[in-house]
Amino acid sequence: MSRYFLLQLRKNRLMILGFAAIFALSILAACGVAYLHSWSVKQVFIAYGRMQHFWLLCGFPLAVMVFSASAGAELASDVNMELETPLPVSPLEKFWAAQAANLVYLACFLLVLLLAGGQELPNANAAAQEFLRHSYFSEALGILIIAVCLCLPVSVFTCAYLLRNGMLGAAAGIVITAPAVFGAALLEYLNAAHGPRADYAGWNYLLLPLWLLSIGAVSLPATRLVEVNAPKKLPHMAAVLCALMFGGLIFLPPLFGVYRNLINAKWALNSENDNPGDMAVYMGNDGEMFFATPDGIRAMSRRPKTAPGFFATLLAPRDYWWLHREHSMIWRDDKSFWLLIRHYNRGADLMLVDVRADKLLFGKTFPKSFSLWKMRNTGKKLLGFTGEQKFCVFDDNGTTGKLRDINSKEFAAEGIAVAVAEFKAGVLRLDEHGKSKIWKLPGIITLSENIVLARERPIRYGLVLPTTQDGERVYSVPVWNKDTGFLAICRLDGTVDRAPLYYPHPVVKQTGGFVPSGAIWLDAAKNFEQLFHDKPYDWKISADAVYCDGRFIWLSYQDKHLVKADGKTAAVVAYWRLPALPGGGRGWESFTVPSRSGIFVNRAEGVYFVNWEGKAKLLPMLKN
Amino acid sequence: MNSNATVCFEGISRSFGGHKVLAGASGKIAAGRVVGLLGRNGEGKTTLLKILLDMLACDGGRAVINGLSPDGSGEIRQHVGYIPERPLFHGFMTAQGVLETRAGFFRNWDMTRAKALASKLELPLGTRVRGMSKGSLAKLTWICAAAHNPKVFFLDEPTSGLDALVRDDILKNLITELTGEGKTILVTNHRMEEMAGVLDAVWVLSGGAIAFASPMEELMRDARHIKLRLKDGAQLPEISGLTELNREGGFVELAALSGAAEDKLRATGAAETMETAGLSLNKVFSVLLKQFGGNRHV
Amino acid sequence: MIEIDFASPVAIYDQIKTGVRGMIAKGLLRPGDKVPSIRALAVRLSVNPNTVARAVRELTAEGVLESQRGESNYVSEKALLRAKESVEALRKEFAEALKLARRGGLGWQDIESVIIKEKGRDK
Repeated sequence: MSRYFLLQLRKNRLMILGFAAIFALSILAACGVAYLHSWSVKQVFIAYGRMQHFWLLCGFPLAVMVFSASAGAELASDVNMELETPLPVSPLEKFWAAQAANLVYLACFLLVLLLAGGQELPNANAAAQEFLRHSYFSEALGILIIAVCLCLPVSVFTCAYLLRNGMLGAAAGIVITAPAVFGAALLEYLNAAHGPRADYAGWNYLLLPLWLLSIGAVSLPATRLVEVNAPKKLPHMAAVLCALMFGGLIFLPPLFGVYRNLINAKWALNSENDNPGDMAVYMGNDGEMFFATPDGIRAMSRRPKTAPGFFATLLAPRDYWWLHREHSMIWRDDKSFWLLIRHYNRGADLMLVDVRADKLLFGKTFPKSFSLWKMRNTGKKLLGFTGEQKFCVFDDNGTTGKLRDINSKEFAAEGIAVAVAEFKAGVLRLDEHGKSKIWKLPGIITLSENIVLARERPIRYGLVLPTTQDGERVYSVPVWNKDTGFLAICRLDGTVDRAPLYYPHPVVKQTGGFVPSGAIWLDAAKNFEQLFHDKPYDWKISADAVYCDGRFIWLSYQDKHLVKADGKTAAVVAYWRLPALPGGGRGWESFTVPSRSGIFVNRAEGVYFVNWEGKAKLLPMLKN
Repeated sequence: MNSNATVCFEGISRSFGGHKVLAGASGKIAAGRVVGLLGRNGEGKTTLLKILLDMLACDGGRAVINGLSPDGSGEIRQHVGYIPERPLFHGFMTAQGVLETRAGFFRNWDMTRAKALASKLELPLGTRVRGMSKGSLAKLTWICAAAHNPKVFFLDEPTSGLDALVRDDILKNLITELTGEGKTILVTNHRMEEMAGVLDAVWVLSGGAIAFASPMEELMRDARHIKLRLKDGAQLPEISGLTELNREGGFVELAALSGAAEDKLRATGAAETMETAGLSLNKVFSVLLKQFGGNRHV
Repeated sequence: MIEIDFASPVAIYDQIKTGVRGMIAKGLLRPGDKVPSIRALAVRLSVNPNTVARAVRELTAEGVLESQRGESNYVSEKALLRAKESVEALRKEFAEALKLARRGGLGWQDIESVIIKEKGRDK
């Protein structure tokens, strides 16, 4: 076996040297051009980095296909047959030895690439690398790498061998991924229509052995067909074709992931939080973060340290659907933000991101045993809450204290003075320095984001976290009295201020300006229905208020129209069509992030910025 | 299947895209025998050899070579010395390199023997295959076929296109192989007459099967070259076993492969005068082809 | 040495035997001379070594050749005698053939022309 393998290595020496020469020349050319153009050494390094990335992400897969196709065709060529068939080597042995030699050369090539270049995606020319970005950050990274480095060369080689033709073989090698492509599209369609997505976390364990089996099954009839010119019976060949296509299914996870990322929505991180400027921060399903401003989008293309690597995605693939379902985002004064992402059946990731520099300042992963679900900011301290009714305190460096039960004593131990809210009684009580302060509120207290439920049942009281307003510690709770609701801001001097309060459904949110309270907004949706004759999608009608300048209010109605209405009378002043939702909106997770001068909406083509005059602009990807 | 025979095949069939090349070819070669395989171009000689060597799949039939059957693994070729119709080697290798490579593939390779053969044939081992003449390639091919001491040889046109001296070399080496243990040889040659002294038997492959098989001694003993003058107005009788070689008016030249045919002819009395002599070798083989060889022109 | 006529209906081994005997009769091979090995003879004549082996076996059985020291073959002392005997046999055979031809109607001129033709071929 080894003798033939060595012979194969010797035969293809020239081709690998040729490719190595092309590689080296391209690097030199890029560096040379960069230097001559800019006379700066720094530019040379940048150019070098770009060439490396091109080769790693684009050039390498192409090299894989070219090599494998020509190797396969060469082995099956008439000349080679005449030459080598008389040797007393079995055709199967020849086939596998040639495959192995091919893989060895590709591995060397890859090694050179990896040693020569960096592992990071460049920020430059981000638009052109959209596809590559999705692959790079893919959930199915492990299986993608295996698919490109192992399955692709072997399949292309086999096809070229069967067809005795390099070009056709390469084309056929692509065609056998057709089941994977159709499978991915079908899965996406099914998932979009019917709720929770399929859990394909275990596919790696199924598809890899399946691929091995299919290639093994194909090799014997393939070698007989080619080497000893076995009679070409139709069922025989159909079986070979089926086996090949079956094996092509291994490309399903990466294609599915890439497909979804290309087609599907991003999800916004800061739609419900303070926005320090005209910015939407959103994340792709694959974990890459983007910062959109009305000028364009910048990407934080560094693969987060918390993102799983090759072995993690291969051996413990993640459960996709719940990946980014919950997050907490806390802005800091210096325009960076803490981001906590909770994974459903794994732990959680904590990141500190600097928006200006698109840099990840800090990254940490929490295991399932210490899995944080939420983060809250008391103004003075950062708190993290787990699913088991425990909490901990963060410091500015992201280190956590120990987990504590949720009760007043524990909070006090951490220096957080929580107030106890008795929901039905409408009473807020603060025990501090041995004294009790009580606010009696005109109505029942309901839950809000800064109220945590104490560990005891039945739930009759909650703990209200303090927040900071105008430098002062306050406790804010929502209070409802029949149909009227307001936010009660309880100050330490005993006074209670009222602020407007908004509940989901109908969703009315506010940024920038203020919205006069009143039941008027509950009827607004009905007016719009008559105006637009729109049928609801999903199961609710939504009119999301996005901005108020004191007189007019803008709403996003059904995610299809931007409506400008009079603040008091709800009469429609103007309306504009928003960019079209893909597929009529079914299964599309859109986001709408309001900011001071317009809203960011995401569509299949990308992210749009729509200003208050209804003018939509598709945001370009910016270089850093 | 006769277990005494070194080479034995039965019912070998093979079609190429609807065109039936071999249909029920059967034959036996006892150990130590030399068989010459005659056949017109395209009758399937090379196909048969390739099937026996496990280089081509057959549609049906069985074969046993030295106790092994063609099973797709190529094991048979370890035990057979094969000269292909168009020998090819990797162009970038030297003769030395070729021998060394082969040494790795053939279990019974004897490098000393290979080198001895090379020096006997005056083949310089340092020349690259790419630059070799046809004669040198033939010498190299012979060394590759013989150096692993096989008991069976399949030689497909081993002397085709070679100059007289190289041809002689090959032939001499072939004969040398036969001394001592005696190897079993199946050889095809368009100019079979150069090997006539070496053959033990001759087969004719035609119509997809072995249409004629006979030991050489019998063939030479029974073959006749008949020259006759027809009586005026007489027609040449149709007698099987007679092949017309030449006709000039009433003068006819015939070949007969058996004494019976000659006697029959004499009995018809159609000839006025008749002269019989032994049939020369080149005529014997071409007569065999004419009579049994079939009509295919490829 | 020996010429093999592949066109002749006479078996090759027979021709070898006749050739060897002929050479002994003409005095080209003397008793005690070493005969070339079977391999060498086969190569020289372009014949199957088995055929040569058969001829040698039969000549040895007839006493024309004898093997000494196991391997090589030598012309025996009796060879000349045997050769002379076989030449005598040939002469008789030729005379018979002549008689047959004459009986069949062949004229003396025809017979002479045949002899001349064969002589010419011998050159």
